[in-house]
Amino acid sequence: MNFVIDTSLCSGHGRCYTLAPEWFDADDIGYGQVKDAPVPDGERARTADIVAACPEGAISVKEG
Amino acid sequence: MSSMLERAEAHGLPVHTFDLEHDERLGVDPFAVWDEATKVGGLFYSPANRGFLVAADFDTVRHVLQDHRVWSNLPSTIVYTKEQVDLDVPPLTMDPPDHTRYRRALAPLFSPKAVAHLEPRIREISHELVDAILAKGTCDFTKDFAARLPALFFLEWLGLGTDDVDRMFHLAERATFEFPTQQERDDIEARIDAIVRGAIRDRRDDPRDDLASAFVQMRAEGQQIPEDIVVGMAKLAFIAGQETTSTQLGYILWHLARNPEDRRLLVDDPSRIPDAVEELMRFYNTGGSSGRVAKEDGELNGFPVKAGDRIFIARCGADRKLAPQVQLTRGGVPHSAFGLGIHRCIGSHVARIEMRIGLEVWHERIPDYRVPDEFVASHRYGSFMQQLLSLPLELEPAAR
Repeated sequence: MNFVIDTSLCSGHGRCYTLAPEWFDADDIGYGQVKDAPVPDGERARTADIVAACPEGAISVKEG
Repeated sequence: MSSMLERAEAHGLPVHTFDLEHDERLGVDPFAVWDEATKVGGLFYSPANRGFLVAADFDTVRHVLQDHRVWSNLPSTIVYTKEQVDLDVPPLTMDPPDHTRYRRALAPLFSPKAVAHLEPRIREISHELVDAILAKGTCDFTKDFAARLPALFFLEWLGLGTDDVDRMFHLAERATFEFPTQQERDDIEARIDAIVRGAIRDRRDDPRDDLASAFVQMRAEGQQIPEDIVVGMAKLAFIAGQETTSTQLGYILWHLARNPEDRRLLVDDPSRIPDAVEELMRFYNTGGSSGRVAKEDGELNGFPVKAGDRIFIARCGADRKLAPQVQLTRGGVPHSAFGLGIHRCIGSHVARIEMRIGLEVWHERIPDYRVPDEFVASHRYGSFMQQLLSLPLELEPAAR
């Protein structure tokens, strides 16, 4: 499972890389980027929190 | 063309008088007014003043703020007052593609990496303010700390110096908390224009290590930016850099002063402060937004929007509706206190540092404090924000 950021919606709130720096990073102007680090299945509850915490609704999870 | 009220009635949209300009309850308990409004529905019509739609749940707020094709900021106007008053503070008062060009130029100056180096200075100012409060022995938090920290820090960073901090803070207050006529608004903006234009012109010949110099050197798509637009953006920074963070800090401390168990969480483990700030911004969202005006026909929650329709974005109510209690260690609940969509607060990363450092220093030096029993909170609501007017505290400083 991996995170996906809809870059047309991201406006740089920075919640993702603050809450989960192991999976997200900030680009040069503070917009979120997904790191190349798989999300273990055991982290499902935390994953749902991160998706919900994005104020723009820009984050989703891709299975597989 | 049918009026907003006629269309609201024809389409079963609730009608609820929501009057930010005249409702005196906003001075007593503004949050009750927000909570009452959000119970009406996610979208309703308020006949107050010139009449306007109100977006009053998170999904509707988010939809409107993300849908910049229908909901324009040009002209940027205060939608909910009796008189139409337009603003000129770019790039807030722009739509794409102009907005996109200038926002891109500004963004690198305010990114988390670009502002991290400001932390030591913010910490230093916070300590100086606490020193002064402890020397005096009494404290009105809103005036002695919340209003001072952002103004002292931001005016210095902008390059205006702090000799004239009281007058400059007062101008930012007027721009935020008055319900002005167009003439009054133009007058406030002209005064701020004169101050920041002086600094911008000065830095063209004599660049320094400050934000005014960075504004001068800024390029949009490789092109020099016209002076009026640079000055307009500096004007917005001048207003938003002072008053917003100050107002938010006042509400945060008000909560912590009345909820000792929440305060204890942060004193025991200051690493909880960033999450606590987000949660308290959500619950005490200072609210302001001038709203939007539809530039073309569209649809919102099934309601047929016509070009020219006004909408107010009830962000405070919408955020509170997401969860009716404060829980400082909460994850997974968003807020719109920094706005949403393309106009989201560009200074948010600086504001977060100011609030975090301010709260760290305060609780390290003054871990125990309380609101006097006889204190009765009073608030004011202006064209952009609501504010706790004063917060007297009884202090128990840490032993040093």
